[in-house]
Amino acid sequence: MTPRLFKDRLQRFFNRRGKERLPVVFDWRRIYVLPSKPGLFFASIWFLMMLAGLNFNNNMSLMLVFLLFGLAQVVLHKTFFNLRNLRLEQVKADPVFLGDAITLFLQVSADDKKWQIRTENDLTDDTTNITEQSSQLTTLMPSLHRGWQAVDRIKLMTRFPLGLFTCWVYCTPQDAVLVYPKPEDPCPPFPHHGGREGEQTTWVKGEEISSIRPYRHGDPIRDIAWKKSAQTEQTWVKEFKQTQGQYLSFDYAQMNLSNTELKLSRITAWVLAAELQQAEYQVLLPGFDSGMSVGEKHLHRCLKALALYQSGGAS
Amino acid sequence: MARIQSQLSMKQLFWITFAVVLAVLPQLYRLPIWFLPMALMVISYRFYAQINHIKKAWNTLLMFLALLVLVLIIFSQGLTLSREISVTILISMAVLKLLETYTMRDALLVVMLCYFVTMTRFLYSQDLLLIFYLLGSAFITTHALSVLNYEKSARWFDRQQIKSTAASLSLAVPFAILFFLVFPRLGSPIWGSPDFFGEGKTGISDTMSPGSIIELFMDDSPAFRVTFDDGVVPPNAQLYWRGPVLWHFDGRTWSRQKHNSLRQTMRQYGDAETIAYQIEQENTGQNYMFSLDYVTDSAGKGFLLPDSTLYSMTTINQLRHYELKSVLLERFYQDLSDHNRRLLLTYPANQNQRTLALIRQWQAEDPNPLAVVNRALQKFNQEDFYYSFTPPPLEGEVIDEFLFESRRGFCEHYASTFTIMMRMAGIPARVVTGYQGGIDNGEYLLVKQSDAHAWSEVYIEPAQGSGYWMRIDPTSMVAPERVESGSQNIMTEKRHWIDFEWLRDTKESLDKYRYQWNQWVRDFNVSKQEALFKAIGFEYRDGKTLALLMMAILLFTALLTLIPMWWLKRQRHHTLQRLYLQLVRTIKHNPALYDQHRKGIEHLTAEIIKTYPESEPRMQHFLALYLQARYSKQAPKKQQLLQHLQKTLNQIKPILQASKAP
Repeated sequence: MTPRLFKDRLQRFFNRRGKERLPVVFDWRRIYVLPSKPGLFFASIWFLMMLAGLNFNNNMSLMLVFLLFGLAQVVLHKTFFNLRNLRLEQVKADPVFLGDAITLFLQVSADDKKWQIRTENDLTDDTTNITEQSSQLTTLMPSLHRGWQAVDRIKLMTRFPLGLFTCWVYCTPQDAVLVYPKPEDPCPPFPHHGGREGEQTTWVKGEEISSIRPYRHGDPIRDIAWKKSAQTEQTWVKEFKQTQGQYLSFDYAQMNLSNTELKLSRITAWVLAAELQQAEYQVLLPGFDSGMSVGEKHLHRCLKALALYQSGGAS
Repeated sequence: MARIQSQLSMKQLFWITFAVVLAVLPQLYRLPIWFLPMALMVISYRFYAQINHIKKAWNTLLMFLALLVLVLIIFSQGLTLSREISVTILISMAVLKLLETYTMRDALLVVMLCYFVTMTRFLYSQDLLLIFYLLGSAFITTHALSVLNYEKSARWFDRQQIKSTAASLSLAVPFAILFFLVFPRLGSPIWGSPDFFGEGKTGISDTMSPGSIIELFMDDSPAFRVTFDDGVVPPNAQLYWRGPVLWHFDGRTWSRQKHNSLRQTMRQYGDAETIAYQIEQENTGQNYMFSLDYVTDSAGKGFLLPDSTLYSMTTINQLRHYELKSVLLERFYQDLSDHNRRLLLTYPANQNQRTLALIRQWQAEDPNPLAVVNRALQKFNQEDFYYSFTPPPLEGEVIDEFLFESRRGFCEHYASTFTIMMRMAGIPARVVTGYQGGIDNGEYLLVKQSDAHAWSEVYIEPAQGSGYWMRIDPTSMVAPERVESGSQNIMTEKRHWIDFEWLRDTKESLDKYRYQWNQWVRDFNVSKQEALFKAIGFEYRDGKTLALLMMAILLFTALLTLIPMWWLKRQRHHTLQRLYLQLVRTIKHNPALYDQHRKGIEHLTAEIIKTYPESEPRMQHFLALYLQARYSKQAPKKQQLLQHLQKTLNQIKPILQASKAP
């Protein structure tokens, strides 16, 4: 068995509950308990004390030792009960662009008071107390691909009251987060194809050569200034400028890029730039036409379509 | 733990420091003189740094400081691997550690060290009163740990959090008691001797110089306790508890003779003549055991030296129990070798000439040794000698000075002077130190350090080659009450500023508890544990049974906390919640509606009204009342609202129930 396969099997074994529909109540069956690092240190000091006390039959030392043992037992139970019957009500997250971290808002609740409920991963940690039945925790998750990305396994833990034990629960919610394509940066100029005249004018790619600039990846071949390029080491591109109406059209089919993701990435950048300039725009994908519009709602409709193009580009 | 690097707050620092100070405090008396100023400096600097946001000093500097303290410790306590030095190092490092305690990680370390420091105190003493220290220190340390982990509020003394710590600890007490009784003990130490971690040095010593016994007079702590087998305590005047016997006098200090033989066995006495008793002796850090004059044999408890001193084979560093038999003899017949006779007749030459002249004069009048003894006693009795705890200091020729000048003193002066006088008269004599009397506490006789006493023994030889020892207590000639009713009762002046009779009485009655404490806690060992196991039906103390027993007890104790916790943590709803749940329960028959109840009262009300339009006015009323009650701050008004709510709810119920039918 390869290690990878072994790990997968192990994961499946431990995560037999699979994806769950929220809300989830964490009863005693789901709680893991282990001593924490300070707890292990406490144990080692305790062990030393016990050895000394037993060796010299020093009864008061032994009393202290056994008192601390009892304390550890009580604290173990307290930590456990502090997590028991905690509810994960829902997980919320706003869509993000690929590459940005996803912020997850975990709404937790409980009928009694819960102290120091904590979530932590490599990116961040957050702690909250539930004193008024409900509270919220924030955690981060990396975005891995565009489209719907499933929420990672969530770990909720507590070390309250003395930090000697860690109690934790795992839960993998059914929810997924929408990840938009990564916008190209810097944003290339708007394309000259398509679009309609408008009252206001914006400089877009046009007919007349206004300047010459070095080649950028994705520039159409017909724009290359062959003469100039032949004279020098570099490849040069003719910049055309033309005034265009505020009505922009971003057509996937007309783009000269080899990679689907690059195309989507560029359109995303254009959409964002257009939205910033409050110019009306239209996104055309195979099987999708957003129509000409502007505004928050339109933006999200376009971005969602871009995110989900070819079923999210899941790898 | 990501938070392990986080910085400490002022409150956290305060509680850590509190824990350290409390853990160290009861050991302050035995730490070097520079320790207290050092600790104060460290603590004040640390707080100064906290207030002014001064960063942690360089590690090299702190290292240097630690080394400096280490050198100081070795300088003041010597370079030996002793208990004292290891405990001092531990304590000093715990205090110094405060200087570099800026993060959670270091703080946790310091706090957990506090538990260890607390334990080291019990290596010196396991007195009953230290139980308060144990509980107090454990509490404060645990609370510091709790505050480190989480500050419930910004208040310095958060009552809620303190209560929670107290609850944790008090739930731990049953565990502690149970484990104390059943946890397997070791019959003998695995490593080291108990001497290394014995409880320390107090009590009568084997030398006597002016003022050495007076220290003991100040001390009301117990020396030993005696239980007489027949329950009858002999009269006070017979209670001479023999300790070290002193032979040599250098003009100022008495010291003992080293023996290399044991006392010859004395003739057999019947049970009627002997007194059997048990002694529970407190640790002294020395080898002396105490017995009534004269003990019949050592009974294997120690060496019985030729001068009838009982000498333990090992240092008495823990509570020691032994059973003895004594005969209360007036005259103790024993042979005296020439060598010993010479030693017992030695006195500093060319000193105390006035005394010598007096003795020579008495001898000229009547050479009989008994006559000289009586002359000397008469002199103490009839001339103006006084019993005093605050005698003028003696210098130079102490015997002359005491006999002719100061004439004030207590047992050690009289015993010392009398013994030398006898030696001058050619009567072999020695000083016996020990305790005299005791307080009958009902169950047992308590002998305190303040009962320390010194008397003389003279060797009378009516015929050549056969003589006897006779106890002479010159102090009783001056202050007969001392011997009849104990040292405390003849005092007219206070020994020290907190010396009150009621305090002494309290201490004596407290000793009864101390006695029980010793029986049950301090002296609990393998054999007592075995007896306990036997009593509950575990005859065999083999590994398997014990392991099973331990498991059973672990499970039992775990249940012991689990059950109260389940009970405490069971779902509890306040009245308002209960009302809401009542409402929810009435619509349970309608699953679609029931599912809405998590979304809150307002949502649910709207949905109910939608489904059961006839309930609208009552439901609206209910909602209004509910919200009022929810946000009402005044208790009486709230009560009224709750009653109204219940009434409204009772009216709503039939409407919702009735709609169920179709």
